[in-house]
Amino acid sequence: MDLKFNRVYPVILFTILIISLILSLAGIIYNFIDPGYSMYIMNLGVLVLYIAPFASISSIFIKGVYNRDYTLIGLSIILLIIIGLNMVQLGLPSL
Amino acid sequence: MLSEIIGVFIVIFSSAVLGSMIGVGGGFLIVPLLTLGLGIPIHNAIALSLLSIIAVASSATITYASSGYIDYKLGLILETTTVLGAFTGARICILLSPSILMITFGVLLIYVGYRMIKKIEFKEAKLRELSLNRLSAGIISSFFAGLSSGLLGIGGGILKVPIMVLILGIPTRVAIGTSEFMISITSASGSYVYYKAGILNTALAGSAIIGGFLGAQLGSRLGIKIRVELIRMIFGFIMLIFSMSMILRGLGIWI
Repeated sequence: MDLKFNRVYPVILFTILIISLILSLAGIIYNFIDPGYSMYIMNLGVLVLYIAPFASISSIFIKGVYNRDYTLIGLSIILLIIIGLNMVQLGLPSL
Repeated sequence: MLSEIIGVFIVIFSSAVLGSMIGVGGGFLIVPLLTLGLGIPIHNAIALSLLSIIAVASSATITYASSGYIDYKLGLILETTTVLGAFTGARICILLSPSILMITFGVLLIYVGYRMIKKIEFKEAKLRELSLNRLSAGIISSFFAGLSSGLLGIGGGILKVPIMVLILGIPTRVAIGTSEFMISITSASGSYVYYKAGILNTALAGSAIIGGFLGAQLGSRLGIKIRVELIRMIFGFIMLIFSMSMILRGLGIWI
């Protein structure tokens, strides 16, 4: 499972980064056509980047479930709760 | 606007290249260059720096995860307090005046510059059983690593790696990999506070993300091929010059 995880996890992270990168680039290019709409696209790029840590923690959670490693499961849930509560307190993201 | 976008891209790209080459985050270069060089207010510079660090650290995490150099369990344990520190640090930063932030950043740069020039290396502790006392010390000190990250817009690896190597006795390579994994989560947490407070300039965010990601990719490849000793020394001296400029600017003395 560890070998599989070491292969799958980087792919998940890389995909998120690439999507965020493409949206950011599209936002910059669109800035010349419609600055208002380009802000919307760039905002989307930023929000996609914020998904990266959640994807990391969720991947580790799944790894914990597969390996029946209850410490990993517990820790990832605690971390998700801490981040989630702070985000709710600050206000959830919106476009 | 276009000149600002290009300026931010150049600053963040070059900082990420240099930072990745010598194995530190680019935050120590990004914030001074954005404030002193481009005249961006320090709060906005910190927000942009943290955003680009998410891209830099995630990019590094991909490399370390593929090689199996990340201790996920330890990373998650330490991250519980680091994230709290980052949220707290970012909230404090919003309340602080630019001059106080400039002076604080300048003082931290003196330490970083000195470490670069002297090249302090940590002796790896012999692998021993991780006691509860040492783990507690690591968890508590991680809070301060997160606090400095959220407060000053840095990754915090300069504190996280010594904590793992010296206090917890983790091998340096694993400590660096785990630290990069942690930084990607810490910087996102800190950055979110700035995003919600409206301090993150979305128009410049795109160039920060692209510059950070591309710079980290190039820097990590160059770092393997080039002897980085001289670059490290130059980096250290630049840090010391920046520290003086930031402290003087913070005290209201413009040079």
